[in-house]
Amino acid sequence: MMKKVMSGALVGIEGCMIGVEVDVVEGLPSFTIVGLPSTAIKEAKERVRAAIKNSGCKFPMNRITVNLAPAEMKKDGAAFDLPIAIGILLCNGDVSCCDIQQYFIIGELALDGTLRSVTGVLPMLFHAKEMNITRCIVPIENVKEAAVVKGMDIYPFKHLQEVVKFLKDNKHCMPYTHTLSNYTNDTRVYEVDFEEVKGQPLAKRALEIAAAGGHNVLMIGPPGSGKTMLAKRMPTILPDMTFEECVEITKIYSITGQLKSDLSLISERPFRAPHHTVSAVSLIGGGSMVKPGEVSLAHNGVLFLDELPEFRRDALEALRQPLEEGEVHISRIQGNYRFPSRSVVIGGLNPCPCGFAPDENRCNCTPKQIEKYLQKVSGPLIDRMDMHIEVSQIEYDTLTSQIPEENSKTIRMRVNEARNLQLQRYKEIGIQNNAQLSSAQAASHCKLNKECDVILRKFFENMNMSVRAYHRILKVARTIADLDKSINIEINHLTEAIQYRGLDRKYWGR
Amino acid sequence: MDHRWYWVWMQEIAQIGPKTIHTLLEIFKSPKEIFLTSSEEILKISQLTKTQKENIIRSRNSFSIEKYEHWIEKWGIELCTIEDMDYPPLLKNIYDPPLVLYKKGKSYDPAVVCIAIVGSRNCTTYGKKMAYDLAKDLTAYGITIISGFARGIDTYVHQGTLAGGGNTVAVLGCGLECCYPPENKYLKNQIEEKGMILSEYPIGARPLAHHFPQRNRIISGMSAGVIVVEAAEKSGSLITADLALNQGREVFSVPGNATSRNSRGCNQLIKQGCSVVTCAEDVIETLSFSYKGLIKKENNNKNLKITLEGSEKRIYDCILDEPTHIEMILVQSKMIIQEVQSILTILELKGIIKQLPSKYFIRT
Repeated sequence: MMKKVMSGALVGIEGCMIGVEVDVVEGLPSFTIVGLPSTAIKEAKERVRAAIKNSGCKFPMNRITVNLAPAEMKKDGAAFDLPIAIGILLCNGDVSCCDIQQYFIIGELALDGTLRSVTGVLPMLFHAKEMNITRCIVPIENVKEAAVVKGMDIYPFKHLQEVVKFLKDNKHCMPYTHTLSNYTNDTRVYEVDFEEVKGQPLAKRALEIAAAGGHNVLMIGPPGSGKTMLAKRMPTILPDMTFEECVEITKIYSITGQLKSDLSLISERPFRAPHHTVSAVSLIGGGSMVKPGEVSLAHNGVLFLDELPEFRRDALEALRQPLEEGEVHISRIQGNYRFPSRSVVIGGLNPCPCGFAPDENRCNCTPKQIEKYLQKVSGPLIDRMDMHIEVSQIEYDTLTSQIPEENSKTIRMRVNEARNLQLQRYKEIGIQNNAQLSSAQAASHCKLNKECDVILRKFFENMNMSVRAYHRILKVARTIADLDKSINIEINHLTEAIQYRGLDRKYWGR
Repeated sequence: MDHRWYWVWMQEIAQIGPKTIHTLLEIFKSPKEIFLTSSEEILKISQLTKTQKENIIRSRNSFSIEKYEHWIEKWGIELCTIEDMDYPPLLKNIYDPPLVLYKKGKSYDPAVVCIAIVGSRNCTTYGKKMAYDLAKDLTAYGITIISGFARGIDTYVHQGTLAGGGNTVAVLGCGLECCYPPENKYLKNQIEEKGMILSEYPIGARPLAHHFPQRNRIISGMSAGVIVVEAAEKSGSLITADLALNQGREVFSVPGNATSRNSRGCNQLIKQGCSVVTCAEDVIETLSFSYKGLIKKENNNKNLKITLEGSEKRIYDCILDEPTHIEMILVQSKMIIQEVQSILTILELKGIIKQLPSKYFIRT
């Protein structure tokens, strides 16, 4: 007797349908799983056997064959435990259900039959929904995540016994309902806030611009000047997230198993600060079973790379393509994977190896040493940084001052307004912010008037600016104009933008 | 063989220093005679050690003019022996003048007054400014500025001289084909075009550490005075100052901040009674006793006054002659950051302020 149960697996960030076919025939007792299962799936035999017995059912002493279709795709994870168990019980006659293929079933089994949570529920259910399956059985720990999928009847269970009972007397319980009203911004709670940062008016203004235009930022400053503190607060001033953005992030966190069970949808912008010893694979994503890396985990949020010159060269170089395209492509024999990676990248570095330049009484570094240190960050990477901020050590008086600083919410309101202007402007070309403008698009959307053109030309001639700065200045000037709610880029916007290109000036040993 | 080649040969003999050369010339009168004397005669000279004698004999056999002629052609360099008319006259009078100089660039007028400006490789913004300005201002008096082409102060001295349209001489510690430090390649080309590079080392000599103190005697020997801009406690620039004193040259020192590590050497020199220099005129005043005709060529377009108004003036007034941080400007001007940033760019464009690393600003 053969039964088929629908379940799912992950391909990159997307889900795909897997049919779990179970065949129980007379013969010598055996239990085989085919269809390129990983070790974790092969071991499902033992879990399923124990779980069925401990749920008070009988495990058939027959020849059992399980096939995971499509057969040529490699599969991993323990999410097939429950569908295999249900398949066996169906064949056994312990459960009878005429419309079993209308259910999407996933879950890991403990030996006593308890259901355990699995990763990647959200993308799999989205896919099931597309395939017109509208009912699903999931472990109770995954219920909040599953509830994000609209129009899906969710039946959460704690134990295999409950699943058996549910399928037996069919629909004795109502699907789980969860209101998704408050995923949005009023509840965005961050542990940090910009009002905790004393002083640093320059850096704050620069980060506000960066948040409004989605610009990548390089922060240069001595140790202890507050680079990390500022970067950590960056997500709190980024514009409010749309529902789609929340779903994208939640999907990524779901497949990496980093989603907390009490959370249905991630509504806070992520902040990722990988240590500088990070490998290229864990930064970009990859591995034999392809998983997203830090750039994707920071999608729609902030990726902070502190001590940029200390990062491994190959890791930094690998970062270039994801930064440019907003997507990571990973090719494997099994297929191509794409992970979104559209984040604001903040790089932190010291001005010299000892960190104290240009304080001549504390810095002992020779110009050559400084040059060598700064050259560790390659030109093409610097190219992708729109703004350079020089952060300085703050005075004791500022640190202890009682003057209240602006909080994140106030700043975010201004950022939201500027970002809405951009969304409207770029509706037709399909981008969200100024930072995503290509050179050609920048030329048409960031037009300079005559006076501005004269100033920029003069600046390039006098200040030894490199050509690569040109489009960056235009884009940043556009964002400053947006913050000012100005239709055109005026002189004061342009001249302010020029100030955020410190590294292009020749004095930084470049 | 042209008699100049004998000088070249003599300079290249290993382990023959200035003292030995002096003795040899007393016995034989000219290098040509030494070259032509038989080996037996040379072995009889009692004042020389055995190795020195052997070196003389060996080098006579291996010396080839072709090699030098090839270099001269390939690298476009010139030879200048101690007998030649264009050999720097002041240099002839020092204790151990180089017998031959290799040079490249514009021809050299021996009558022009030369001043050396030296300082540490690891310099501060202050040192950089002083070196650049002093060099630039002194060239206005028609003075040739000599320096050592090293990183730091030396580089800014050459740059300042070139910016002032003056004549500069770079004395290298390696062969003329070699560019050390390598980042000064562009500067080297410019000096070759508008000034002169000079070395006592033949083509192919590496920039070895012991070459540099040796080269310092040429820097001070060629000049009427030496200005030390920035020198730490144990600095090569102090060696140059010592050499200059021994050679009877004027030594000037640019005072630094009393607490500054980079100026300790300079301040030490001042304590010992060396003349203090704060501007080009200080040097001219001292030199005018012994050199006549040091007159400033007026620069006409210097007195361009820029008038500032409103907020631009307010910000300009906050910036001092020493580096001022942007937050200081922010506090003093009581303006918001956007405006300050924007006005700073405009002032920079007008050329009246300059931005330094880490958002410091300074008046030009």
